[in-house]
Amino acid sequence: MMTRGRNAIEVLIAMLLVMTPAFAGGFVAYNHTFDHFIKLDDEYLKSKFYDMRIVSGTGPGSETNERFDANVITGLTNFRANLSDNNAYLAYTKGKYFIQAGQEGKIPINKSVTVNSYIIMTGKFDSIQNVDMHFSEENLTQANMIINLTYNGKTYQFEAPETKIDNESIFNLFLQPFCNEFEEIGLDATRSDYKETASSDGLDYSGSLTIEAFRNEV
Amino acid sequence: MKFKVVELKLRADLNIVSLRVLAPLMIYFLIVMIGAATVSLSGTFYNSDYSTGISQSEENANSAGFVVIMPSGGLDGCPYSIWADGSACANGGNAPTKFSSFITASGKGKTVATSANIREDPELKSVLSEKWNYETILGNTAQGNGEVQCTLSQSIDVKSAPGYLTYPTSANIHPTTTVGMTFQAFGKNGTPLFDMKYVPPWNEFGEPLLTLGVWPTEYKNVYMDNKLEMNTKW
Repeated sequence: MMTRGRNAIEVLIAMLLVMTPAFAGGFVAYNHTFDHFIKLDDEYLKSKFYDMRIVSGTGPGSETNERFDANVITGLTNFRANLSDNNAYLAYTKGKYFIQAGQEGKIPINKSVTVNSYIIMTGKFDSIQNVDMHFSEENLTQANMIINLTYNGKTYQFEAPETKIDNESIFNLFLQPFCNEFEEIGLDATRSDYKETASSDGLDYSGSLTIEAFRNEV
Repeated sequence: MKFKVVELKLRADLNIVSLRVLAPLMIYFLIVMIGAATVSLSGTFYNSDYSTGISQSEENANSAGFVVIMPSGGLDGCPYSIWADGSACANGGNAPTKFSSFITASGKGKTVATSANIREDPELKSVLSEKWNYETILGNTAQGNGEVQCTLSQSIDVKSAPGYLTYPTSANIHPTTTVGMTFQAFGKNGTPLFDMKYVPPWNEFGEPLLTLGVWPTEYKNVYMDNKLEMNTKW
């Protein structure tokens, strides 16, 4: 029975691998919902994976990929989001994951994790955002999340505190833009312009969007 | 939350006969709407050659505006036929702000129509301000070359308080503010002159809207300005 359960878990792990590289200019956004259910004899494994979103970048070379690994056998759960954009200024990740493993007639084991993380910069940075969540097999309440941010060749490591609400682990990591660790604000990088013109039959139209950052003299 | 609903309707239907009687006097309408309530206004103002229509709906916002109607050719010192101007901004309180407007302007065989929408979650009211403005001048003869010109301009300005930055995000995320404007132009017989224009353009979320979140910074002297503009003349 245990072997069958492991097979089921391996199938689940394979299906939970979410690797969707995206290439786009402007913002990159994901909103995934994933439900899965596997049953072998009286053992079952149910998973939900939803409301995950990464919004980032303005450069045409924006690339993100996400990967979620859950291994109930080893007790290791990893979520990884990589962002690489030379002109990025925002990375936002929200994920909620639920796994239930059980045997009919017995109390199931539930694991539920919610992750929120933000990284906002003024641009011109390369970041690698790794969100690693580790759980022990015996005690599902022990978990930590470590984020590694690589900026201008240096790696900064942050640990997100865990909050437990109704047996759900919630991690929130909010990196202030313009952290003291990073360079001074580059206001020019925040300017963003869109302009469109049109003419027809003697009527001229123009529309524009201008986003600028300013600094007052202290 | 239940809002008090106040509906205000103004209508000024002036025909050439009444204009003859009233000329050379100008007709002046002052429109002010204030309150933590849902307020709507619609009005059509016209003379023999030009017209403008104003329709606004707002919830927890303040607005003010005026319309000046002259005889079609204008008068000395007032070389225009119709001049309308308006502005609106979110007010304080713990309720969301919702504002929408639809402005039309007609003359010289063409009609333009423009809309604006603003939504703001109450959590952002202390750190973010949105301001909507529009102005239309129809039958303007002050060009110096004998040409008669019509113009319409509209803008939405979203500015953060010092110490806060804005960043574009999805309308599904809160607290945020969402703004957007559209523009259409029609020739004779209502024929569209081009496809509807949007500011901002359609984004990756599948909507022609700008949704902004707010982020506090350690630098108390920085702020951001997001400005949407539309201008037309014919």
